[in-house]
Amino acid sequence: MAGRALRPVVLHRLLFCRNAQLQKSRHFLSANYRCDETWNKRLENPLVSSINLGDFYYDLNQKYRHEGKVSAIDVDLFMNRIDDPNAEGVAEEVEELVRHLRRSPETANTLESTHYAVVRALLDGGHTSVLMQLLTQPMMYGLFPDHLTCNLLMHTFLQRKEYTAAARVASYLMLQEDFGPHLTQALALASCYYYITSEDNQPWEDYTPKVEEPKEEVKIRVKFLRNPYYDDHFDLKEPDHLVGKTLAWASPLVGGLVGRSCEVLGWALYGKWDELEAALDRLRTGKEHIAASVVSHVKSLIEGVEDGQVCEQLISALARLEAADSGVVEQDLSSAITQLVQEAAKEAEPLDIKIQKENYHRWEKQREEEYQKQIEEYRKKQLMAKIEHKKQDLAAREEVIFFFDNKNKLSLLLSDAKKKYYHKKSPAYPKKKKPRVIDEAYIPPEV
Amino acid sequence: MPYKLVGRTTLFRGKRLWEIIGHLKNFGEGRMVVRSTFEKYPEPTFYRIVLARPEMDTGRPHMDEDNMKGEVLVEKVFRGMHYGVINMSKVAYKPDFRLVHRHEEARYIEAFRNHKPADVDIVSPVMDMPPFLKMVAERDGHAARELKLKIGSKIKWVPGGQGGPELYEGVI
Repeated sequence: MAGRALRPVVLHRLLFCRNAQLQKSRHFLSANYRCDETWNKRLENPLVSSINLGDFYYDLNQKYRHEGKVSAIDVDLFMNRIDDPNAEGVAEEVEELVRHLRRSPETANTLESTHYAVVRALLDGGHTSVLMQLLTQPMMYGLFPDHLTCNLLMHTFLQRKEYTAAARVASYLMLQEDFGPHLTQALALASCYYYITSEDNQPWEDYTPKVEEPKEEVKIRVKFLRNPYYDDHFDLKEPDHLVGKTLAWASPLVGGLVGRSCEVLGWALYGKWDELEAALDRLRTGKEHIAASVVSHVKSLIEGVEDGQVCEQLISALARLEAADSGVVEQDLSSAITQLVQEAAKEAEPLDIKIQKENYHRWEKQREEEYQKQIEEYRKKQLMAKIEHKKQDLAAREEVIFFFDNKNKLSLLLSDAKKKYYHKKSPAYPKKKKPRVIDEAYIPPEV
Repeated sequence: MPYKLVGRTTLFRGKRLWEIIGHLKNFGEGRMVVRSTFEKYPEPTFYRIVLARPEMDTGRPHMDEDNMKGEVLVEKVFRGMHYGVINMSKVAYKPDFRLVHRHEEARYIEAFRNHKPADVDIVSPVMDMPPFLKMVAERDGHAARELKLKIGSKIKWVPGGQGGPELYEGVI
C-alpha cells in the first residue's frame, strides 16, 4: 500500500474521513471548565436557598408595579436561585427581570454574578434564541459576559454545532473591542470560521423590536431633528459584515498562517476593499503565504463587487499575490484553527478554572454584603418613619396638654376675626344680560 | 408609513453619549469619545469616560426622547488643553458623539502629547483714542490722550492688527 499511489476515490474517502473525525472532536475545553460542583455550591448559601422562585418572582413583579423598579440584588438572588433551567417559563421570567433592571437607574448597581447566572441559566436550558436576544441588545438587556463566560459559551455552541450563536458571541466580543486572552481570541476566530464554512446555519435573526407603524403618515413635532448617522460598529446588522469585521480584527492578534488568511477573508466579507487591498499587498511584500481555500472564497466575493474598477484592482492584487513565490499554500485551515484552539485551551484551562472558582467565592461575598446593605437601608427607613410618626404624635399631645398655658400665644396665631369683604368688581367683559323671560302663566298676587 | 418627525435641524452628526455608553460594558469606563462639532479644530479634542451612571429614561413614544439623562464624569481635553475630570451630564444628551476605537486612540493621545500651545500675544494695555474723541478731549482740556483697555479673556484686538489705529491715519 505504501509504494502504490492511492486512487482518487480512496484518497478522497481518507481525507473525508479525517475531516469528519476532526469535525466530531470539537472538544476544546474539558467538562471541568464548567466548574459545575463549585457553581452548584451557591445554592447552599442560606440567602439563596431560602428563596422560593415562584413567590419571589411574584413579589418582584408587585414591587415593580408599585415602585416602578427592581433592585439589583433581588435580580441577582433570583438568577442565582435558578437550579432547573429547563423548567417552564424560566426564559421569559429571566428576560423580563433583566429588562426591568436594565431600564431603571438601578442598572448601575448590577452585580457581576448576575451576568454569569443569566448566561448559565439560559445556556443550560437550551434557550439559545433568548440568550442571543439578550446578548445583542445591550441597551435593553445589558448582558455583558466576561471572557471566561464567553469561552464557555463559544465552546458549548461549537459542540452543539450552533455556529450562528457562536459567531454572534464572537461578534459581541468584537463590538466590545476586547477579545481577551489567547483562548478567547482563538475561539472567536474558530466560531466565525466555522460559521462561514458550514452550509446550513441557523438564521441570523434580527432581535430589534419592531415598531408598529400607522397606515397613514403621522407627523410628530419634536424640538430638534437628528441627522442620519451610521457608525459602522454598533449599527452593523448584516451577518457577513459582523463576522467579517470580527475576523478582520481578531486575526492580527492570533497571527500566523491562520491569522493572515482569516484577516483577508474578514476584510472581503466586510466589504472594505481598501483594507483588503492593503492586506494583500502587505502579504506580498512580507513574503507570507495564506491558505488556498481563503483565496478562492475571496475571489468569489470580489466578483460580486459592482464597481468595475475596484473589482479589477482587487483581482490584480490577488493575482499578484498568487504569482508571488510563497503566495498561496494548500493547507486545511479548519484543522489549523482547531489545533490552535486546542493548544490555547490546554495552556489556559487550569488557570481559568482556578480564576472561575475564585470568582464564585468573591461573588458570594459581594452578594452577602449587598444584601446586608439593603437590609440596613430598609431598617433605617423604617426607623425614620417610626420616629416621624412618634414626633407627630407627641406634638399633638403636647398641644392638647399645654393648651391653656399657651392660650395667649395661640390666639395671636389666629388670623384676625373680622374678614374683610371686598365688593365684587365689575368684570371687564360684562356678562350678556339674558332677556327677561315673561312667564305667561304668572298671576300677580292680590294684595 | 413611518412616523415623520418634524422639527428644527441641527449640525450634530453622531449618537447620544448614553446610546454609546449603553452598548459598552462597565458603562464605557476608560473609553474615548469625541464630538463631531469639535473635530473642526486642528488641536486635539477628546473625552475619556471616567464614570457613567445612566438613568435609562424613556421619553414620549416615537419622539426620539429616550436615554437623555444620567450622570457622567469625563476627563476633558479641549483644543490641546487638559481640563481634568469634569461633569458632562448636561451635554451628554446631544447626538454628537462618536466612539473612538482602541486602535485609533493612539493618534489622539500622540496629538495631545505633541501639542504645543500657541505663544501668548502680549497686548498693550493702552490704546489711542478715536480721533474725534481726541479732538473733543483736547478742546475740553482733558489731559488724557489714551484709552485704557479692559483686557479679559476675550480680547481680540491687537494694536496694529486689522482695524487698528491706522484706519484713522491722515483723517485729521
